[in-house]
Amino acid sequence: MVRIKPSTIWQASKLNRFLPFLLPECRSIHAARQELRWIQDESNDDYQVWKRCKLRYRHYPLQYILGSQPFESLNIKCKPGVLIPRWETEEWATDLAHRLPKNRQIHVLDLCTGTGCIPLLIKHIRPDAVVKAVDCSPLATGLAYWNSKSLGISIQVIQGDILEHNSTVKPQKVDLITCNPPYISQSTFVKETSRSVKLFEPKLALIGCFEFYADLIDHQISRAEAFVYEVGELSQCEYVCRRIVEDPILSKVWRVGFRLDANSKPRVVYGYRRVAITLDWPRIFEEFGELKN
Amino acid sequence: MSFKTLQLSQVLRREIHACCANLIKKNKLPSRPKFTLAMEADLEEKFLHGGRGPGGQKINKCNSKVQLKHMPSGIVVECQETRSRHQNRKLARDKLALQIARWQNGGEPIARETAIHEWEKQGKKSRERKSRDKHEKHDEERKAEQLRELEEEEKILNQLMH
Repeated sequence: MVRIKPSTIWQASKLNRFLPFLLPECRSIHAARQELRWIQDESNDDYQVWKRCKLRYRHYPLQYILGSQPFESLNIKCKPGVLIPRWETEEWATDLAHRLPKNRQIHVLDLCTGTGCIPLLIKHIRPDAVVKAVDCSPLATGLAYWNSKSLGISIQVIQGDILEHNSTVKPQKVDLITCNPPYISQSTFVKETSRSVKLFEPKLALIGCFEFYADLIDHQISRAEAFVYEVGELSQCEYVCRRIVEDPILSKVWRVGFRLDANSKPRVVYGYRRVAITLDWPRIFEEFGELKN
Repeated sequence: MSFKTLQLSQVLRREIHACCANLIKKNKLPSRPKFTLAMEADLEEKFLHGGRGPGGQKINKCNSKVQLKHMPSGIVVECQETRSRHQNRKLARDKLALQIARWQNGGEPIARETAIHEWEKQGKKSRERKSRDKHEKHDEERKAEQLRELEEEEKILNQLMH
């Protein structure tokens, strides 16, 4: 990473005495000023602004400082110990929610829900959906429940580890499974992950490789009509695709596709049954991404 | 100028203003140009998130930039005022609607802008007038005070003389 020039720090300090604290995370004066404005808007006095800027200097995430992150039209509350919703998730979740049919009782199950941003958004855009959210962390389920209460959107929050196949998460039939699993592998976590994420966001929600995608093929796929999983890299998309293509039964029943995000990176792997019983999945997922099988 | 004539002139001036000035009210300005659904079709929307580098869970971006391009005119607007992408999209559309209205007006300021300009000028004028009136009033008072003092002094002098 390029170091910040002393002249930039000097310039920033002349503009505002708190501004240099924000430079290590924002990198440019323009971004730092904007962030300072957001902090000032939500602080009571200069002392609080100063304290928050100092936290930011140590790469503490802004969303934990301010306690919230906008997610489409919702303001999702964030707390340390739960992953902050990302814009990539916002992007595909919004698109997906608008594609779901109106005035239909669709059963949606969201795994690894964290703050509950995806199920809350789906329920918000399609109020007739029946939405369940599962997470293994009690912090996350607590926050998801609190979010649903404060936003006035009713979703069912269940605490349970989906990788442990016990009775807490009953294998019910659902129409759609969405999931934003931990997908950063151990090696890229060390090499590529930004400092703020590495230091302050829960590793439980970040580090994973193929576990959740294996679990999808082995257990979740049988009870679902369609699935949408967020991925970190192409290999995870390919893994899901390969597992389905190689299986003689699954390859006949399922279609799989990849979706890129606004930065043209593979971000979502999705699939649906060729012969849909309840919903017209091919039409719903039309142009959602690129079909591979 | 005596106090009476001045007062008269003030009244006169006020009357002249009341009958001549075409006053603009702040709450009755021409409305802001609205963004219509028809405009949506000519748009090219881009979300800029810093381009290269890792994404997804690996990085935690706080800002989101929306860039709108209006194809027929080639106008480009950007917005990254708020943390919310949803909000930024709305703000960018409002900005663009204003730009389009100006473009449709042939680069001239639109009715609302001229009205706002007029309103500001009017405010400035009225502030100036008020300040002038105030100063005149104080001047007059001061003069009256001096006159009174002089008279008193004269009185005292007269008393001493007699």
